[in-house]
Amino acid sequence: MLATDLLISARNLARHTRRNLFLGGAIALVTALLVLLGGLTAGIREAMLDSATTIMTGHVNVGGFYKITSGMAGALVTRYPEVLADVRRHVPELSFVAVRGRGYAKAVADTGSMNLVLAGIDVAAEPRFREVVQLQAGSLDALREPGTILLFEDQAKRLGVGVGDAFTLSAPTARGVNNTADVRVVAVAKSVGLLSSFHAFVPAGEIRRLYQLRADNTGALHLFLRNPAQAARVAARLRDDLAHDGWKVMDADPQPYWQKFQRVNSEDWTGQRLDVTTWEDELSFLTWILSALQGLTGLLATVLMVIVVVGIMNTLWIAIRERTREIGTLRAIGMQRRKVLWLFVLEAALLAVLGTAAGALLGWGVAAAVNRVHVAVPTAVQFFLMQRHLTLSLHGLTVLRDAGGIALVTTLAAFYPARRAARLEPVTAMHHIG
Amino acid sequence: MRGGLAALRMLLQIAFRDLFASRVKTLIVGGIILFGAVLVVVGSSLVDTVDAGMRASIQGSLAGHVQVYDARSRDPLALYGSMMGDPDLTPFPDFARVKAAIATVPGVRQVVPMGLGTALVSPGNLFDVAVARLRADVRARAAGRGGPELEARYQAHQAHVRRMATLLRDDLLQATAILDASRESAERARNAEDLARATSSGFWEELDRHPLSSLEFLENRIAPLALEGTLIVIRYVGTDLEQFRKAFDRMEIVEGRLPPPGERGLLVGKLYAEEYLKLRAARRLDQLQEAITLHHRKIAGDEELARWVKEAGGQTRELLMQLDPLQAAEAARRLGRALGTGEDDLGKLLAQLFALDDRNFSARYRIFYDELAPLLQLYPFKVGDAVTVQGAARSGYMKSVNLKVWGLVQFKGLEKSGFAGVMSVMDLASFRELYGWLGPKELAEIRGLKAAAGAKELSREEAEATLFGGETSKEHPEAGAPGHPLPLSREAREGQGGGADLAPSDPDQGVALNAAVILDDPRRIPAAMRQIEAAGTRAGLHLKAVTWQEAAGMVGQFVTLARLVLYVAVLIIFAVALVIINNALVMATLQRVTEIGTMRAIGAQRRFIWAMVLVESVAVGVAFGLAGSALGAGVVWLIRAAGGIPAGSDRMYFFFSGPSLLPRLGAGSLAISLGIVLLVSVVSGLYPALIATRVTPLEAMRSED
Repeated sequence: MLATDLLISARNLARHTRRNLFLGGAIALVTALLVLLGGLTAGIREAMLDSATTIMTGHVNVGGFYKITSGMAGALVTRYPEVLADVRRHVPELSFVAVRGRGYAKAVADTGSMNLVLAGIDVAAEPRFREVVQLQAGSLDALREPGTILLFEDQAKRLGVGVGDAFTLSAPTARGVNNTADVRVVAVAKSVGLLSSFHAFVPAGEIRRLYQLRADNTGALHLFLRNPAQAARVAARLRDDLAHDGWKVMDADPQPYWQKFQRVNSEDWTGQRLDVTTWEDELSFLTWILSALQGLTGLLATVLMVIVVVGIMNTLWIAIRERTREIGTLRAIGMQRRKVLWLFVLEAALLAVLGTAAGALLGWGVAAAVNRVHVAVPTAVQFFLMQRHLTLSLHGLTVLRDAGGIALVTTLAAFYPARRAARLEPVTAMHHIG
Repeated sequence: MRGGLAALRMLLQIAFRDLFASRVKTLIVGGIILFGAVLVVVGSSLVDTVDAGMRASIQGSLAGHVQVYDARSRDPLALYGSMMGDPDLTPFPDFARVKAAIATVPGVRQVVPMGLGTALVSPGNLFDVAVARLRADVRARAAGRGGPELEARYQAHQAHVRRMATLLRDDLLQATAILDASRESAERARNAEDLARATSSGFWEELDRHPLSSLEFLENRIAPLALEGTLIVIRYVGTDLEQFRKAFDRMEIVEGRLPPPGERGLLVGKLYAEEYLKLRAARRLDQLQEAITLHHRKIAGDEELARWVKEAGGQTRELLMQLDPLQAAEAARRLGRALGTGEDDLGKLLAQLFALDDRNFSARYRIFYDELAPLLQLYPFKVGDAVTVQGAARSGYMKSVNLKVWGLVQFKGLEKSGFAGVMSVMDLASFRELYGWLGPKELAEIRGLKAAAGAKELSREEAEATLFGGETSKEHPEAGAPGHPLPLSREAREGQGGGADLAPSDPDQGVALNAAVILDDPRRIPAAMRQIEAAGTRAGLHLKAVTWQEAAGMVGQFVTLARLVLYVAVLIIFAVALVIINNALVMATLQRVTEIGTMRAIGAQRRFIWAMVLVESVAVGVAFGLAGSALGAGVVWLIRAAGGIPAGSDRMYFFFSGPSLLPRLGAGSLAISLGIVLLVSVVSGLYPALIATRVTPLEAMRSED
């Protein structure tokens, strides 16, 4: 039965090739557009997650502040081996942990200077780092030696240094003294987007040396989960669990750690407090770009859908007027109203499905082409898109959801005209001329 | 000619008859065009207003019409900084030459020297403030202005300083938990000794006998140990203040005044002071007040506001530390009365004060500012105090300059912008000192010293002592840490900044990084940019001229991006609308096959049919396009009448260049939107018109429906 109905609908669509091609084309265009915008948003999000989790955050972080006086905080986790043991016990979802030192220094070379956010890293213990960071020159293994540093290519260019060159790090401390350390560049890595413009890596011991810290101190524990989507849930649970173990844990605050200094400094406590954050918290200073893009996509989608719905209704109005006599005849030979309604809605649905499918395919094709061509993002826009090459990330499920949504809305738009068709009395309908 | 006119009249007649005859089609096509026209008019008016507002505020506050810098610089100029830190600009060694060259360009009204940079300021520490109060009492006593009231104050201030020293002693024990014990142990032992002395009763008995030496001990040995407050980054523009004021009308002195000509000093950015320097509890209250009264948010159910309430309450320590015993008692008395409780413990009273909810907020806010604030120092310095600004000089080493704060400054339209509103303004001579401008002779000297010291770099202390004549060590002879910020409330002696001899009589002579050029006629920007670069070449200078948008770096790029996004969105909307309108018209045409065929049969030419269909679609376009534009203009007017679109967040405040966006309707945007609508209606009419011309009389007669 359904097959027959579908056949009838298809035949009706085919009879008015031109108009249906236009309409289907418009639907396809809108679908392709939404798919591409969705791909852009997802692409940015993934690029962000990818570079951020290599460089500055885990899926969940256990960081914290140590306050010598209540007015002076350092981004430190003291007695981190104990914290780590507790974390391992509480997080079965854990894939692996990276222990990172946190620091901030001005790099001064002969021909240039710049500010660097320093991460203290134990390269031997982080196999993933090796996979993601691609070296342009030098070797990662050399980063095990004290007094070494890994720079990204932009930084090396700006400082005018290459592998083997030395320069000075000067880290301001709260006391107004600048601790300095001379470091030798042992590796230059390819840039991985915006965040690599100001992050550099030194051996974990180097951070301790710069700030004169004891060996059981570190900056933060970066936890990598098997499923990153669980980050928020794991973070909330871990916060409670650690507090339960007797650690002092700070309240959730969705901000990167370096934006918390001011607040922490003016709070009335001393000693250690742990701070559990997710990667989204640490990147909150960038995620507004994603929200803006999503808002824009939503607005555009709404406006376009209004236009498409008007188009669909218009086309059906005219189709019904054209086929009034046909409808009358069908009704006269005993077809139920419901069936007439069904036939018109089915026609619209078929058009919508074909249109959205074509659009999704088109969007997919364009995305694949864009990804293949490696469109360089202009430097001006790199900050906002967080990519060096435009990458659109499409996922079957999201595309299906977007396309399905559009198909549904367009089909629903057909209901009103279809109901009018179904209401026609056989007699008036058969009398209708033209 | 007359025939053509007659034909046109007929075409129009037919067009309007048809439009009224097939009302559904007309309404659908017209509706889409109307919708599109409204969208374009409102959208472009909003973007134009944002653009014009931001241009006015950025041009009028820092950029000027054209920015000029050295073409050989490694980085492009970025007035508001970039992700990589300050741009690396090649300085103009002698700005007077640059100015002379630019001044030859006709239409240039003003050339303002600038140097942008970031430095560190210390918001100071409370210990210094407390010692300064004590010092004032000691002076008053020495001057013989004794009396029971002074005695009581003197005792209270003593108790305050002593309590803080005790806290400090306990605090420093904490440091052993993180610091590597093997290093600095000698220094730490000395610190512990000093603290033990400062907290002993013997020391305080001696204060009466040798007040000055005791105070010196507190200031030089104990105050540096008070690790209050981190150093925070301040962004500044160093400029000739008189010229700057004339050139930039957006600058407003909120408090205090511009340093008089020839004086050195600093005007601190208002937002910067609020955001980074103000007492945190007070700042949070301000933010809550703004969110509740301006944005109509509620504490209940708003996660962010609830966090602010909690933070305001958690930051009472700063507040308690400021008060000496006398003030604390007074504060407790006032709070107890205002809150109507019998409680007399200040800590508990404060906790009660900061237990905020939607009902009590406005009353508590008033209590804080009316009762408590007069006893407190809300900012770490007052206008008139001196602050120490530390900058990394070009060589990478730290330079510090003590500057008198002459006032607070803000730029209209950028008051809330985290990028642009935090800018502070200082005089050119201080900038040059911070920048560490060294002539060729000094550079040679450094090279010699470096060679002598071997591979090791000079330490900071040595570098400063050698290069700047030991100026730093003269000023605070015993400070353990040479970079330790000076007590903020010291008298203006230091406030004038060191090295006044560095300032040449003509502010234009000397180094500057870039220049803002003000033109008589802003429309001449592109021509002026070309002429400035040419004038530079003639004078043997390498000048690069950029527009405000380029100079604004990331901020300017964002405006460009926003504009681009709007245009792309409008383009897409009209592309889809085109398809839909086209479709509606094609179907309408096909319905009229009989009519068209008949007309052809009675002698109408193809061209006439083509024109007929096209005139119809254009007529719809014009009629509904006009109506849509009028409606759009109405919407814009309504938005204005309703007081504009309020800026919901600080980021929007920046884009709106003020608390709300008052869209303006430009003739340009109206014309453009009408143009777009006309284009769309013509283009979407082309294909149906083509179809219509293909209809043959025969087809028309055969057609059944």
